[in-house]
Amino acid sequence: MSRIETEDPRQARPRCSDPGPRAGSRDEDLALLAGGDLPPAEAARLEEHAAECPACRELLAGLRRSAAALALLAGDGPAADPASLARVRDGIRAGVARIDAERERTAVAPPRWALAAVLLVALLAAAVWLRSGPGGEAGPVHRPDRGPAAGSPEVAVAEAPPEPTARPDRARETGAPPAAGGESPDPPPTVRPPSDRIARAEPSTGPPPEPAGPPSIASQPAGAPREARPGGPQITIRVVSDDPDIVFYWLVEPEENRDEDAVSS
Amino acid sequence: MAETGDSEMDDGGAAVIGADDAIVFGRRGDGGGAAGESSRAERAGRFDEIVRLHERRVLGLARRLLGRREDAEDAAQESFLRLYRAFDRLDPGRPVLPYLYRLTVNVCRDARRRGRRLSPLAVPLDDVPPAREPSAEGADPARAAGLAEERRIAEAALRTLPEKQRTALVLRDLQGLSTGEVAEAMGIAEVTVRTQISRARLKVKEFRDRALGGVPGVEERTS
Repeated sequence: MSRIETEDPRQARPRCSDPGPRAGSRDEDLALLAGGDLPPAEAARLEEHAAECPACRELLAGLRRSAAALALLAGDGPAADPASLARVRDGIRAGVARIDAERERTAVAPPRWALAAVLLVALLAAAVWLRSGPGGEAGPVHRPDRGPAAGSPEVAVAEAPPEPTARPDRARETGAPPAAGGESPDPPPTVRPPSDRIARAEPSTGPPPEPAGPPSIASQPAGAPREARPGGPQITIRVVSDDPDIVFYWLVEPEENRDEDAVSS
Repeated sequence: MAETGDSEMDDGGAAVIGADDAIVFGRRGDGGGAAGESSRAERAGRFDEIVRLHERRVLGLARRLLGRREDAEDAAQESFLRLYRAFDRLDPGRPVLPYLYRLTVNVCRDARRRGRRLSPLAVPLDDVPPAREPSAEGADPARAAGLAEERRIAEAALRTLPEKQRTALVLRDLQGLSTGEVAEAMGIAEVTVRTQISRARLKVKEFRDRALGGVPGVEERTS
């Protein structure tokens, strides 16, 4: 019975007398030497060793023949086909046109959140205007054209907020009684109607001013001058939701301030 | 340089433009040097010039790394399109070719991960390029045939290599990049590149020895 054994070429060839610090390191150094990738001093030492070591001399010669064969493949190789290059160029041209078109669409269109915020502000402004009514008798939200009385606690909006606003659902559920009949709102000459501020409000792109959680009620000194009113101060409650772009403003008539205070604490 | 996935600009966004690209981007300070300041038409013209200068190299590299012509063409297209998307961030003071190589290496790696594996040992005869010595081919057909066989064996040897070894060897020995440029293109350390190319050369040598039948130490024993 005959056996044919094929040995690993590295095992079959004569062994180097100085193989280096780890297995295969001498071979790897010779491979670097064959490709010109050793520093000059190190290359000179290895050449000197190979001159005296048959194993390394043989391996180095084989590596150099292999490098010469690889050099036949150097350059563009099979990529020199003109038809292949033409297909690549056509694909690049089409891709560039697609990228340019995408960039133009992105540059022209406003962000979706901006459009949504503007729409929400418009809806809230319309809702506030409809709920306020001609005599101020409907619901807890009244025309925003009243000012607080002098000396009364004053909860009002600070300088015009950048965020869009919306009525708070919680406030609607309080069922505040309508104002007494016969009382008509006085147009304030100096107070800008919050509904206008709401309509002109712009969405904020910054980080949320408050963490998510139950809506908070901000109590701030009034940022705009208000005239003294006989019925008492108007209270504006600002409710910040977990979305920084949505802020609710609750406008309360003077007769309802005591009720709102009991509910909203 | 940090290893990155599909993002090639993680090194600070400063890709480079080399001496052969100087005519594309002009000199610094002449008002037209920064790619980011150019109009779209100017940008398109400059990009076209870069494509013209480097399309063969990029396609050749992709072909070496992926094997199939169709896959290489797709990879070359994608490499240039990725360059175009990042075009405004290019630094006119640095060469662009290493960056292009890196894009191509990443695109080819992504293609292999999607299942477009390098074809194994078989190399179609019509994919073997013509001999590099046409005069020898005409004067000595036997020599030409020998060279063709050498090329075929070398191509086949490349395809047996692991991905990183093949990439490093192709960039160093076929594309002519320095070990530092290979390291930049592959996003690895230069010492790692040297290890990869040395092991790759040893394997190519062994493959060639087996293919040519010159393997020493083959023994036949009878018992």
